[in-house]
Amino acid sequence: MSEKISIQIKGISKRYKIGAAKADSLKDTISSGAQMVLGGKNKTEDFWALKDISIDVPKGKVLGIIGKNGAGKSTLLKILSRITKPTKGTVEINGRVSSLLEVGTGFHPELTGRENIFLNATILGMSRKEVKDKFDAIVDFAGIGKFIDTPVKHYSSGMYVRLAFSVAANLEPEILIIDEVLAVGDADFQRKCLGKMSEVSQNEGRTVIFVSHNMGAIKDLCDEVIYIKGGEVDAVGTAEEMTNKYLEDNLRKYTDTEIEIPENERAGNGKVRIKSVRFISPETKLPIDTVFCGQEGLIEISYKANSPEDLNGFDIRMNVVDSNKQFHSQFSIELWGKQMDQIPTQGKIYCKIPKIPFSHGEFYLVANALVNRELADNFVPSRFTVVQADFFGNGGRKPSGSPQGVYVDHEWYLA
Amino acid sequence: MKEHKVIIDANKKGYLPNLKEVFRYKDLLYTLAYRDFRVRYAQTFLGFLWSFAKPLATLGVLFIIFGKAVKVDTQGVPYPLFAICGMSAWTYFSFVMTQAGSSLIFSQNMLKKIYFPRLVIPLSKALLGLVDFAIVLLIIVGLLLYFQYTPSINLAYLPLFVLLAVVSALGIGIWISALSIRYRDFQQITPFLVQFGFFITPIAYSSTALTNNLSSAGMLLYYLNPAAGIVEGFRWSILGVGELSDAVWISISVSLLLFVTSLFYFRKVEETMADII
Repeated sequence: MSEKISIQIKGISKRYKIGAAKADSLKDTISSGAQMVLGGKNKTEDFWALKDISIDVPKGKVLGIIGKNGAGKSTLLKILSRITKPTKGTVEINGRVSSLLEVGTGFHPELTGRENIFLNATILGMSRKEVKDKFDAIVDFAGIGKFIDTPVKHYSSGMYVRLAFSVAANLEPEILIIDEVLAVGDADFQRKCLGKMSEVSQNEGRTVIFVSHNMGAIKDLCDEVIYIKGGEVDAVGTAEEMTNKYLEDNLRKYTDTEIEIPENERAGNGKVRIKSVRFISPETKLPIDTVFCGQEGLIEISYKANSPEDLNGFDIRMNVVDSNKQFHSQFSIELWGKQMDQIPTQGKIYCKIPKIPFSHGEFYLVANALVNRELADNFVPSRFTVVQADFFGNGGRKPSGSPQGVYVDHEWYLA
Repeated sequence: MKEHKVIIDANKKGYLPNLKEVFRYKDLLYTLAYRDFRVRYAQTFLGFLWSFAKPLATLGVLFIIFGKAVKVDTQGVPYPLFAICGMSAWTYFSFVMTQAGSSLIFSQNMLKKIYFPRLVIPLSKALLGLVDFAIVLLIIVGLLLYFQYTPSINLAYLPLFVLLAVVSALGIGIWISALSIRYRDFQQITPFLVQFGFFITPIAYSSTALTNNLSSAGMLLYYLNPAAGIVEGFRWSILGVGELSDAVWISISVSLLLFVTSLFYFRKVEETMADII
């Protein structure tokens, strides 16, 4: 095998037995054993979390893994970090692996930051001497300075993650596995971590495997991305291609039609349920998924309430976010500030935006229904695309620049 | 840094306990023991003093019941000294057995999130138990001075019996920890073992009281309890009373057998632990 490959995955499959967890007591084992002898049928069912996965990860690359929840990302990482064994296939790993642990896994709240560094690092396979050598670098990077001798139970969650990341990143592993942990922590530190990760891979030739739902971070960091779907590799490609494909797949079904979301996947007290959220054309009143910056926008929300009383204090609140979950604006009846009388128990309600302020690209409407400021329902994000256009209506320059954002009307004058 | 290569093969099964890997993680063993030690008395007022208070309280109760009220035969040894020698071994033994037995279940979060040789977890409890053991040894030294009792030359054998206590307690603890991954029933068993063990082990009384009344088959059964031989050995090496009966060999063999088999069984379930726990 070439020295250039840091992880070689060959035909990995992983089977879990559904229902096997039931054999949790001796009694069950004895009775199921008896059943087998007597010719009864086995009540467990096979579930393949991973099916024949083969990937070569070159040294010094940042590999992104994306996929929906339950697609098998975590199972794959568990196999790579040797927590669980594959059912089929082989993996060859060249170099020491370190994983960034989920917040709190390797920490004990009663111990101080200093003690936890030793604890966490030795769990990750370092010797105490190695920790001592790198101690200052770890503390420095985490930026927890004078809190180093404070029990970590008094830390903020941001400090927690910073310390955990710092330990894992400063271990100088040949392979660093990071599973969706950077969601916590402030933006500043996230940037610092991402910086550290690309530095680690570019300058020191280390391999990073990065799992995230944050398509922005995936795009920024990864050289190559693997898209996993239903336990299989669906596609491999550049970060740009794969993140687009991912967003495409996951949001297509939410445009246009009304959707039924099962009751157990919903949040809120259920006094009001949202059935659909979509932009419609102000002229034809037909659903659309693309709007133009600077033009009039109309959002149609279908809802249904249990009873007329439940609509006292009714509000719809919609946040507009981008694919990095960055907030851009909010629309709500409350912000609008006027009273609506006689709201029917079910029907459609419209929100008119005289001039769409969003610059360009993809945005999401995240709609919540509220009754007396209590959450009644939380709807799936609805995607819409904004086409760059003449917001300021001067027929001249179209505003440009890559970051997505919001335009605001303004004037200039001389005193 | 030397090249580190790992091959994961679904078709390869390990049968031999991977002690080399455990040795590589020896610092983790130490750190885990340190963590448990530090955390045990966190936010308590008496703190470390509890480690003295607990054995002294037990000793007080034993002294009143078996020393004053029932008056067991101690072959001329002051009762507190007699009892604490037995207690020192038993406390260590039962502590390690209980703690190691439940250690994997309590660390399941860690097991599901990160790789390390799982054996390190129960092993670290043996190290932790030595702290309490050292404290009881201090109490023993205090009592030896108080009663002006000169320890026997047998004292040279004490380290061997300590080692035996470590090995046997770990043997049972590792078995229970590995079994309770799949069968939580075994968690219910340890409190029974501790409770019965206290009575079927010559801690508060002398085994000579039994030797005279039990048949040889009964004696054999009695010493199948590894703690019996160890407690006996502790008392013999510290106080020098009585003779070490041949039956102690039974306890020693059982201890070693439990320990070795536990390592093999642990290895067998180690790879699937994270999936089942």
